[in-house]
Amino acid sequence: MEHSKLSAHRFRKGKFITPMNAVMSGIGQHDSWYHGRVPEYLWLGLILDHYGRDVGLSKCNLILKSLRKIAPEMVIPRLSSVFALDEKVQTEFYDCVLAVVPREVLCPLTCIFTYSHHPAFTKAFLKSDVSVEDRFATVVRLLKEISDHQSHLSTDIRFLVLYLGLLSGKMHMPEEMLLNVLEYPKCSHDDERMRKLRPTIRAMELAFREVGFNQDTRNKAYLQSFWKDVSRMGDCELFYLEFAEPKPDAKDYSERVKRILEYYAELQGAANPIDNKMLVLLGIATYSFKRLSELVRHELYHEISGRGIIRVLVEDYIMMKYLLKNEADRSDIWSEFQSYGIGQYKIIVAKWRDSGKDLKTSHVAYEYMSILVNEHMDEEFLDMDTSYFDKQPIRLKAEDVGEKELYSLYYDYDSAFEHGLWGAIRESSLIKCNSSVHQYHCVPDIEDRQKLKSVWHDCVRVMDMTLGILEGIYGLRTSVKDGDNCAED
Amino acid sequence: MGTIVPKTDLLGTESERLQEQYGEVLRKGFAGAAKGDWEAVIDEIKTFWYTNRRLVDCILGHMCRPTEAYAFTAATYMNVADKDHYPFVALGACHFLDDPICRLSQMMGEGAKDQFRDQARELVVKAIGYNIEIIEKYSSAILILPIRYLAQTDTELIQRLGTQAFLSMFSRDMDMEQYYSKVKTTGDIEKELKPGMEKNFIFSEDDDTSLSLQKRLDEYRAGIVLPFERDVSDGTVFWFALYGYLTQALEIMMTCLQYRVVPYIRYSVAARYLLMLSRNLADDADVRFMVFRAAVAHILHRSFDKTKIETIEFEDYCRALVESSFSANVFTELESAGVTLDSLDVSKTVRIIKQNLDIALQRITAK
Repeated sequence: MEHSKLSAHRFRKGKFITPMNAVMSGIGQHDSWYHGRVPEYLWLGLILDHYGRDVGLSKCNLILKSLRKIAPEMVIPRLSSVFALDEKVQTEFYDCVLAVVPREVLCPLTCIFTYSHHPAFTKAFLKSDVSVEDRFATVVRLLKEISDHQSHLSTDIRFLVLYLGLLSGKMHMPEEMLLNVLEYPKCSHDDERMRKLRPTIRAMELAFREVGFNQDTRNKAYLQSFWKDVSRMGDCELFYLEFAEPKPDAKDYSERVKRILEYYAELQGAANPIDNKMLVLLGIATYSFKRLSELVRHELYHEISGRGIIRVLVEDYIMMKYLLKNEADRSDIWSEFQSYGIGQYKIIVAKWRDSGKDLKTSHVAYEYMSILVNEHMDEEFLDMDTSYFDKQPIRLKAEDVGEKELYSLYYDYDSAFEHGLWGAIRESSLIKCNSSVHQYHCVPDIEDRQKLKSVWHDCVRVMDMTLGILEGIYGLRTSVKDGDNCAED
Repeated sequence: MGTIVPKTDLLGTESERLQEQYGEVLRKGFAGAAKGDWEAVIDEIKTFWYTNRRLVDCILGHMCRPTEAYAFTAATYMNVADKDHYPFVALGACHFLDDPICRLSQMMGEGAKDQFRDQARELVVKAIGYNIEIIEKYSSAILILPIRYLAQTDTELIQRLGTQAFLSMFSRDMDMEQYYSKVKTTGDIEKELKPGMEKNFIFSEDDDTSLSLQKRLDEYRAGIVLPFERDVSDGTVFWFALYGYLTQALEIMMTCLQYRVVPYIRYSVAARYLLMLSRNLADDADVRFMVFRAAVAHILHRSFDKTKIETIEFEDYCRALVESSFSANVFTELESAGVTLDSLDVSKTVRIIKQNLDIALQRITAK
């Protein structure tokens, strides 16, 4: 299925609304095929599964006809409706079932519907020499098989549901459609006509499900109890994605970056130690390098922390470009940038002072921050700007310097990890369980099995772009660029 | 004490729910058993525990510190009418009754003889009755969990170790096939046993080791229902008795180590075999700790004077134990008195237990 383009969405109050949701409301879980109907029709599935399609359908035909006679008011062959019958009537029906199929066919259900709540059913179908585990395994296998509402087995079950509706006389349809329905059991699934018949059956069953649904609170209680029991019985089947890659040759690359930055630092000290612009640019680049070094040293390529690192590298690079682009229009953008950052520190220090708290064991070194705040200027003369630097969020800065794509394809994604948003939590900290009885839920990845795609290649690319800025301004000697390799040449 | 199940923690709430639901299953099962629906009743109990097995694991693993959890095990049922629950809750903070029903149901299986099956059914009914009473009256202090039934102990390993332990009592190196062919009469057993070994094992609580082995074995044979024909050889009965006890002790040890709970054993024969086997694992700190606490609990059970608590309400009794720090004081004083697993002085242990119990009970009478 092709997904809608972003441009096809409607943007309303800061939200992109999908084209589908713009015109219709969501489908409730209680009447979905898997959650809401499979538990009701599982018994029919067991008969079909045991005998195969042809024999299974004809056995079900006999059983549904008996049901029609014993409980004429029943329109849909829901197990919850059967359980709601008087115990004597239930026993009568179960005897009819047992006249058509042996007890082992429906025996798997006795691990869910036990004696204290379903005595008649248990007495009819229990075979205690089949272990609870084996009975449950059959249920799980079948649930998995019919979890797809379009599978052949699911469609056969849906046909049987319709069939009782027809027998009850409460379901009416045009003659042509009726002929189609009656044709269904006679055709094999390989028959070309089934390409049309199967969707017809499914569509009709979907429409038919509404009969008596809203009034039937019994059905909801049944579903709740069914899923609660089977989910408790089943074990999780966890799976996660492997993004294993050969370890990058990170050491060589880090050494190269280090060599280049050492060269610029030496150059600054030698040529112009008090050049503020160079200090700011080198400071930003060094900060990126230090984060990159952490990535390498602690091998964080596939970790959540790695996402924080690439995000900073992107932001640093955009900021460098932004400062350079706006340099000409301002008297001293470099000092402004420094004052903005130190001003942020001053806010924190001021709040700490106001709190009157000691916080000695905090990771924030408030006393030291206070010294930094007063490093070049008495803090009494230092303003504090509570908005973004230059009043622009990073998104606008990225657009301003022609790096919109870097922002929208990388920075935004990595921000989800830094802010602990659900997408990032789902990707990194939850593992999918493939168990049908757990309805494919997620479980917390406490064991840290799920690794993420490596950030290494993107880090290298952005770091190279950062170094490219410095090279563009200050140049780079080939001897430094190529290191020892050049000397050997 | 297990009496405190905080309402605000999910595990506590879930364990309460589990007991309530099990109570419901048992009440309906009790009625069903009376109607003869044995198969369905037992199957439902097994299914119930299978469904809730992960919660049982969670309760056993996290309800309280491992050193403070005791499991009433190796018994067919807890006789609350005889106030078995009073001594059981004296030591430790959490108390689990190892549900005997699933185990008993295994004795009712296809191959069992009618008499044996009938006796097992009687025991199941009795156990269901006691379980219902425990859930209705004492579930704030005692939780019923199928510990041994759900424990993933390696059955083959237990059987192998049990056979090994059994055969190690004989002078000759042999396997079970050789045992069956060589050891048939009591005379054969006496001839093959290592010297003095006949005093090391007992057949029952009433077994008198001063009697001849033939007499002891005859009394054992007369006192129990064997799951096979009565004319089997003495050698087979001897194996049946000892192998059963040895594998039971091994299973208790492995299960309790798995969950890190202390076995509370009422039956002195089972306690004796547990102590006997633990000597082979003397270097393992966990085993030593567990067996020492189990031994103290067994001594407490044997020396507990039930006349003293005849008129005391169970809740008052539990509260008095907590308020007087009974359990902690007993183990502190045992340590000070030099009572350890290697120097298990029963009379000193009994004295310390009695003194501390008197202090606890005085709190109730003082009120």
